[in-house]
Amino acid sequence: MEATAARPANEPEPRIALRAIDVDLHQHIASWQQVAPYAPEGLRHRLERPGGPPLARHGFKIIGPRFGQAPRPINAHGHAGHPAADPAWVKAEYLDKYGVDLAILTGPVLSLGVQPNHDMAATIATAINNWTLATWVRPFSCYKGSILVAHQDPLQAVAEIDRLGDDPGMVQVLMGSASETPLGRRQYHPIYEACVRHNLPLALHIGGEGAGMSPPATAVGHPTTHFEWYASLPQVYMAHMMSMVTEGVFERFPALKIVLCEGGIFWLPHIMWRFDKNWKAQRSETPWVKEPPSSYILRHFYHTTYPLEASSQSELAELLEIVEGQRTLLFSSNYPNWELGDPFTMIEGLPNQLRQRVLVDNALALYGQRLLPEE
Amino acid sequence: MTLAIDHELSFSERVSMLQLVDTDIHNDLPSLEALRPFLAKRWHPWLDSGGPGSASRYYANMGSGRMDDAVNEEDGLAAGDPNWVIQQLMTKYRIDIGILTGSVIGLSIQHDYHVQAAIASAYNEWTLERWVRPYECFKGSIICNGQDADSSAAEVRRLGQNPGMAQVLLASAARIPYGNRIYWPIYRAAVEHNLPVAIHVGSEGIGIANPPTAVGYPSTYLEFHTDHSQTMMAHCISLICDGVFEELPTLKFAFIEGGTVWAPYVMGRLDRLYPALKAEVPYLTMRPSEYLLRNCYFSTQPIEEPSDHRQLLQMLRMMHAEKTVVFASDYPHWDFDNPLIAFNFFPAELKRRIFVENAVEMYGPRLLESNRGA
Repeated sequence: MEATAARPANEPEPRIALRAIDVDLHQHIASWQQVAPYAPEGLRHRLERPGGPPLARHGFKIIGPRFGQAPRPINAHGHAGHPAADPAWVKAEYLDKYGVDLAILTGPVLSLGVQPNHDMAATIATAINNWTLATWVRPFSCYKGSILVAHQDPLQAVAEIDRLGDDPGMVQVLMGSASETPLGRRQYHPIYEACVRHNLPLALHIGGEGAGMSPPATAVGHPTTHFEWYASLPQVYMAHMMSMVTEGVFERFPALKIVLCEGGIFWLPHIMWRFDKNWKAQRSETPWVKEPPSSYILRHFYHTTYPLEASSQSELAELLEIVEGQRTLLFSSNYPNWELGDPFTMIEGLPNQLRQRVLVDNALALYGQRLLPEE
Repeated sequence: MTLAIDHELSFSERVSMLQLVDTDIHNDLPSLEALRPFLAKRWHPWLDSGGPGSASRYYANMGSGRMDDAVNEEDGLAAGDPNWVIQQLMTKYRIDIGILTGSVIGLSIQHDYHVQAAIASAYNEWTLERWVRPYECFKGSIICNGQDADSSAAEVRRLGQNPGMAQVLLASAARIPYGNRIYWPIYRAAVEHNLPVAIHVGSEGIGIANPPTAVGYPSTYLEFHTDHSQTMMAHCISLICDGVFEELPTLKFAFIEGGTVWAPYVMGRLDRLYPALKAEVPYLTMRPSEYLLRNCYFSTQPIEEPSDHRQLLQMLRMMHAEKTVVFASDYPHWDFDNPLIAFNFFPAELKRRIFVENAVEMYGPRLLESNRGA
């Protein structure tokens, strides 16, 4: 840090020759028996159950082949194994071969925040965090972890953030976006305070919608298919975004940054412009919201590339200008869930002048020094 | 204002004379008591008791919720008297034809579907009698209790041939997404009578409806109102994914007051998923965006307002607004869009499509039929 401070202010940061930073890699739990030892003793036995802990699931699943063109390990019997179970294999077969220098791990269980048993949810979060650090992050400098928390109990979530918040292996806090209530509500503010206290962005990730204590996965009830469910999920981000802006989260925590994983970007213009228009007329209801909502949205929210909506190149260019993609868009692979295509094909339509920013610079600007491997 | 119904002229000549079609005018019902003459006797005890219990909205506009400068001192309403609306809206803003969307759309998320179906019928009769038959410039909506598909389909069939009725109208607030097969009897009846089906926001989170968002209840009216478009998106996705437009290729579906430029998200995300996930929806035969562009219409009000107008036009181009967007004023509500100024930066051709031609395509020839036989 001293070296940074000593550099003249007008001199740019030294260019770090990175090829790509992947902000969304889903490491897989091959067996809960391997994770259970990392759980606090009291509830460890819940993780040791055959088949893992009792978790509410929504029941939507992909029909058809899994993982698309993601690399697959083949075992001695000729069977394909899970492509994200072994960190050394993932490094060799995905990161190294695709030219990815760093990956942020976003984990295997994204429905913890809607599990009715909040103590069990917090225990699982702690176990996964410890397991991730011990088996993925500490042995491999190419991986960074996310502090997974179960937000339905903000007290335990804050304790977990404080426990791991200064660990150099952790670069963000991670919560499932499925939620009983919108995330702007005041009971969650201590979580945001803890994020800011440790200088950590907060990533939200879809996946638990419609499970457990979650309301139905759309505002008009349960979808029929996985196809419909997955297409609808960005609406959850819209609701959280409006809630966080409206409840003044960013007035209270101006340093807080939010990453929305796997949500796309083409809905943002509608939300920003509808929100601004309503705010002009209704802002006396929320006098603490001092700027037009779109200013908070553009300043505090980041988006990921997997999956971008299908569009023409010129439409994507127009969209990226509106949502300031040169700052707010981050490369993500969603590895190993490549059913929708490989993540590099997904970004082929990006304007050339944005590629370096999306692949590397925006993530460095957001996550900062902590992202880089320790010297 | 009513030139367009002159039957001496050809249909296209009449269309060319139109300046503006408004797809969303909220005429006021002075009180439930006004429905008594149209309500079967067995339901009168409900009126005698002051009307059925009614789950009500708990998010309140910071103002009155309506255009205070349009209130008529005679009745204290902004849209209680058809002649007042003709003067305050149709004449002032040069609107030729207005589709009435009324003030009871939320009846479909009230608990008692028996009495609400009866109220819907009586309301539709009241609309015809009081607003449609005496005036050529208004068309009614067949308001239905959407949660009860059987009674809704029966109501659509009862009034489906009436030239004074331009569409079927349901609340966007719902327990179950509108693609679900439980609703298909309503759509079949609509298709039989060449009527579009429209859904309208406002009752989200009330009565038997789901919470207003997929993550529960917002705190404020600002959020509540901005959140409305999510119910529209969810229904739109559901209608496409459950195969409604495959089963009923001529069904026209209108999304009223839910915004417009979210359609590129719906098309783009569905089209991104479809090639990989289509095994789950083998009954679909086209890319999802093709269904949206063929079957769906989106009304303007409240039109999204970016600080850079060009960006709105860019988004509208992505959703082929020249085929999919229709004008709505939402008179007399607080967020009324003034058609004389709000669209001035639109290219003339696009404006013409939105103001007139798309509405003519959506509603069909019935839009220009005389109400005399209504």
